[in-house]
Amino acid sequence: MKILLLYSLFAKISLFTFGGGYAMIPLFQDELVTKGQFLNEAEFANMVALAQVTPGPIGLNAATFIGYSQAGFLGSLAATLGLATPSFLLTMLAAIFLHKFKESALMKNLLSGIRPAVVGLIAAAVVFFANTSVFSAPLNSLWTQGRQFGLCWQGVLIFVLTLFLQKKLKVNMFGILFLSALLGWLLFLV
Amino acid sequence: MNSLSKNLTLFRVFFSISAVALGGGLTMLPIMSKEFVEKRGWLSDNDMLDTVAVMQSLPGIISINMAVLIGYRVAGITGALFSALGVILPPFVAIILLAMFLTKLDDNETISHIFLGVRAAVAAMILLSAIKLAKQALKNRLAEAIAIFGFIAMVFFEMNAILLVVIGALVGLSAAYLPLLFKSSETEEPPAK
Repeated sequence: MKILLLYSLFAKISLFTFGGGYAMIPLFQDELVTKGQFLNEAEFANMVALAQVTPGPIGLNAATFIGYSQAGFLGSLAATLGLATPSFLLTMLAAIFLHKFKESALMKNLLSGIRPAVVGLIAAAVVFFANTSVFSAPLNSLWTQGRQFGLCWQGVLIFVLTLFLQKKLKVNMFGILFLSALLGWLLFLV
Repeated sequence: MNSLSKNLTLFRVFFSISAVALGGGLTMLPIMSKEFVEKRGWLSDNDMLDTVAVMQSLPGIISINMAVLIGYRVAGITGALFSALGVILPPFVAIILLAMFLTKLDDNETISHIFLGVRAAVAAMILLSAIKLAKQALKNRLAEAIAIFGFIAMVFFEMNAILLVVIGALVGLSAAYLPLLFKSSETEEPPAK
């Protein structure tokens, strides 16, 4: 039963992910943490961080990980196939009707609204990761219990350094992630 | 070149791209045009442009979408299957091996500090890609409003992400078709002055 559930959950996530990778994270979070309660926030954030560090598409990595943590090898298989199925079938259709699809006004208009929504989603994913690293309490707790909210200086430092290294110095992702892991360890020893 | 060896080549190329591509998706693009356009001449530059245009408007995993489009163009449905398998297999095997050893990720304080560091870096990386995407996608006030609404709804009101995508689609459609509706009703009964 759990295998089927995993398959359909990931198929649903895939069907509504436009823009790949990062845009998928909030969907994962909704379905797996908030609704499904398969994982807690911290476990989920760590899995995504790990999916980021390992090569391959981040969505597939995260699905394989989460599937394995829920139901072993078969869970991984179900999650991966679930994620791949809508991708494969819809793209197949698009490939067969490529020219019609490319010029379809309906598709263009749909996407003119979906794209900005995805920008919002990805921006929200920034907050999701910052909530457990840069901020000392989730940003939305400002609302209810403003006094608890603060910054974690180690997280802020790594965040700013990453912006600088990636944007200005074009350091590759591997280097940055390795450095951030090292700094995470060292800065807390101070 | 017969079709089996073409299929195997597709599999091999996508397998190796997927095995090394950090971040996946669009980062695979330059390697693919090198392999398929420059090296083998199986596709033209225009084919690649078509692929990118279509791929970005389809839901799902970008790298699978890209593999299916290119695989299909090169060798039909079997080509698409071999290419997709090539993309899926490396992360699948690698992650299962990793997951077998890493069942608990939060075991001690050092590991949780290391992960805190990585999460902070990931937050910054996602911010950069959000900014890049915003520059491309937010071309008018309406688009900006959708993005800001989405961000606030997600962060402060825990809106469901799928619902947000559906709302975006509906707003996109209404913005395109509602004005037409009003226009046609205006021609029937002109507004009073």
